[in-house]
Amino acid sequence: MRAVVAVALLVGVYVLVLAVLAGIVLVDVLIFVNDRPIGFIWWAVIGGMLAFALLSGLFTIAGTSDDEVRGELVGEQDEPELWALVRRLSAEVGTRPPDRIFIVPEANAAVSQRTRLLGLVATTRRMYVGAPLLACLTERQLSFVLAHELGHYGNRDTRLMGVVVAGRVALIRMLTKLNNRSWYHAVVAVMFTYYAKIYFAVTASLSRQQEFAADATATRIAGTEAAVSSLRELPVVEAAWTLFHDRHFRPAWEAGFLPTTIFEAFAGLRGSPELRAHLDAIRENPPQRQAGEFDSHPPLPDRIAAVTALAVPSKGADRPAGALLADNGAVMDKTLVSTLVEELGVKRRVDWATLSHTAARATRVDRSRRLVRVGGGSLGSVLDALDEGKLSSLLRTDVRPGSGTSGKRVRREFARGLLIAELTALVELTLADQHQARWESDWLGTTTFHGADLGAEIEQATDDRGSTAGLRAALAGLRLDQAPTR
Amino acid sequence: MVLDPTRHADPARWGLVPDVDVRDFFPEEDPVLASAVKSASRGQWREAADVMAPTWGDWDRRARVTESLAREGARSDEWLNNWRDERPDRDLAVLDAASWVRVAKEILGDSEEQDHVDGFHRVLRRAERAARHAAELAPQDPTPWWTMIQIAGGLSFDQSRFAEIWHELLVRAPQHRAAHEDALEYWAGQSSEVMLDFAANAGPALVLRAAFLLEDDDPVIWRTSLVADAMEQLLAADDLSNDDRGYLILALYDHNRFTDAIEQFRALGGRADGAPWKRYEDPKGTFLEYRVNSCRKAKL
Repeated sequence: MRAVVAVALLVGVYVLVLAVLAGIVLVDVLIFVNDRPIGFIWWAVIGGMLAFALLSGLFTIAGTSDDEVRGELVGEQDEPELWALVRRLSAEVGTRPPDRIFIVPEANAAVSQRTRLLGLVATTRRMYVGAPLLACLTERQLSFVLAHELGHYGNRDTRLMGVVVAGRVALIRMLTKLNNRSWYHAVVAVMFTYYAKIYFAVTASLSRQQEFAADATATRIAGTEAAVSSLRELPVVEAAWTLFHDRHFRPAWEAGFLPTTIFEAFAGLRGSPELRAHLDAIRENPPQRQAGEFDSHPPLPDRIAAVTALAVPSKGADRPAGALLADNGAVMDKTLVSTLVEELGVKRRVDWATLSHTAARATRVDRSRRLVRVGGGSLGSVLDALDEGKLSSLLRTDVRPGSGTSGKRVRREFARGLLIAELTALVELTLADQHQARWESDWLGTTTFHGADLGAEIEQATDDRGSTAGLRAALAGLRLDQAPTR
Repeated sequence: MVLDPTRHADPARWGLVPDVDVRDFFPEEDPVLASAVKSASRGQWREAADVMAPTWGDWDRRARVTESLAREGARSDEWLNNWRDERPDRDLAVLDAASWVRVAKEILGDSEEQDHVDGFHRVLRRAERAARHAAELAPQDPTPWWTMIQIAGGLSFDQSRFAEIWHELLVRAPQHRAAHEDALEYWAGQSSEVMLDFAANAGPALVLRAAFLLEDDDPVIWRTSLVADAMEQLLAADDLSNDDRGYLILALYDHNRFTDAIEQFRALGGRADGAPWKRYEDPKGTFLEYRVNSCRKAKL
């Protein structure tokens, strides 16, 4: 019954928009008939803008979802095992298999249906499989995730449920599209938001039921053990992937580098000792996904309890999901790096050790740039300035201590600390560039300098009554006249 | 006119100094010390040395003089350098270490920026070296160990390392008041339970300070029997310091004992320069707000 109401509401969107459009035209006609030409023009302009916004909103939902797909389209001949699994799962769920499968560089999976007329008519069905899931889950855990997604389109639910879900997606898409645009879009968005809220309220419990139903379907196929473990593991995979992508892959990419290995390195990150505690904490205590206004997923503990209650034994042996892929999963790296980029050699290919060294070096160059500029162009000239008693000319004058005091000694001491950091960077660069030292970063992003610890010598060199002799002795035999660049 | 609510809050009606006479800064009252600070600001160290020397043995007074001179030491170190050049002695070493701590605290202020935090830590490590040096020059003096306790708080030393420092202090001056207050700050950064235990053993004045440090996390802390008992003990004591009176006012206010709070305000006069007022962004404003609200709520 609720599903019927929901579908009626979807159709109602069209009725509502047409009624408002008719109203705009009617007002304009009335103004014209009443012989108010200025009012007519004004209303024609304002009404026209509103009508434009209304129609563009409508076309957003009515039209196909042209979401930008980042990832690799894999045909049946490319990945026969993955396709076979998906076909088998579709058959067990009782729905038609997807027309296309994409491997995407995101830590989730989804099935989407191209829709027309507010999701009332379905066309091409696509499945998105996150490469991080292939890399982290077992085959059975992946089966649970994919079967869950397919379950949303299963026949066991009422036929209208698919429409309800598609409508939900379409409305969200429309609201996002109308958001943050001109004022007339905003006016229309307010109207649609109220409408959408009614729709979501009507369908909220249906959606939750549907999530539980999809979980149940998928559990019957994959077994309770895989169901529970994959529900627990998904937040962990997501956290690890976000860390890997945002802290390691993307900065390297933006700096113009392409790591020689991607998913192999991701596996290294997941297994690294420095991250174990962090990932274990997420596994024990999954972050409460901030239940967005439109999020229809029930809380994770409830889902785990529900699938545990089903107690479906698992059958047969399990193996890593990555084994489903041909060619050792080469397709996973391709989701992030198009063949084109590689062939054109746009990015410099480097291994991760070189990469972390290079990245550490770049931050040292940035950190020491000011000192090199005011200190005469090189470490040698900075040391000369210190020997000549020109420490003050090297200190920053544009910084304030936390207490905001104007006290001379406090300001000077604060500036001295900043100078020590800059000089340390410059000394490290001098050592590293002449093969006396190197940097190494772990997956948490902590950088260690492997080289002589000259902290005491640097402090001595920047002391009011200090001397550079110790530092010069430690750097004996090295060239000090070079200005480091990135 | 009779219904004018501000009439009830008029400080004069309660025998309190007028608002305009309340200040959050007062010059040093001890004329000898004031003069020593002044000549130190001109680069001269001898007067400071003459004030420091006779404090030997009176550790609470030594702490007070050290605090006062170290404030000047954070402003300029010319007098400390001159002292070092002409006669490096144990009193200089004590002041040098305390001044470094003061510099560190002012680099940090209330900031949470990484540069400020890094600077704070760096200078505290410098201060630690200076304090160790002072402790070597003056083995009986608890003052360098008091400085070490402040450093331990700032650098979050682990508890076993702190215990060693605390032991060194206790064998030299078991009642050292300033060190107890700073030890409380150390424990505040470690564990609120241990801090409360520590305060309960250290006396009622420390209990009220602990309550102040905990009130954000535990709003009913003032109403616990531990704090209520400490409040009564302090009320019964004679000869309270201005800082003790300040914390006592917060306790009395929370217990709706406004007439008693006004009595403490009367004893404080116009001095909004101590704790806990100086821990607020606007010390004088906070002082006056508590005062006027006490007057308004008190029964005649």
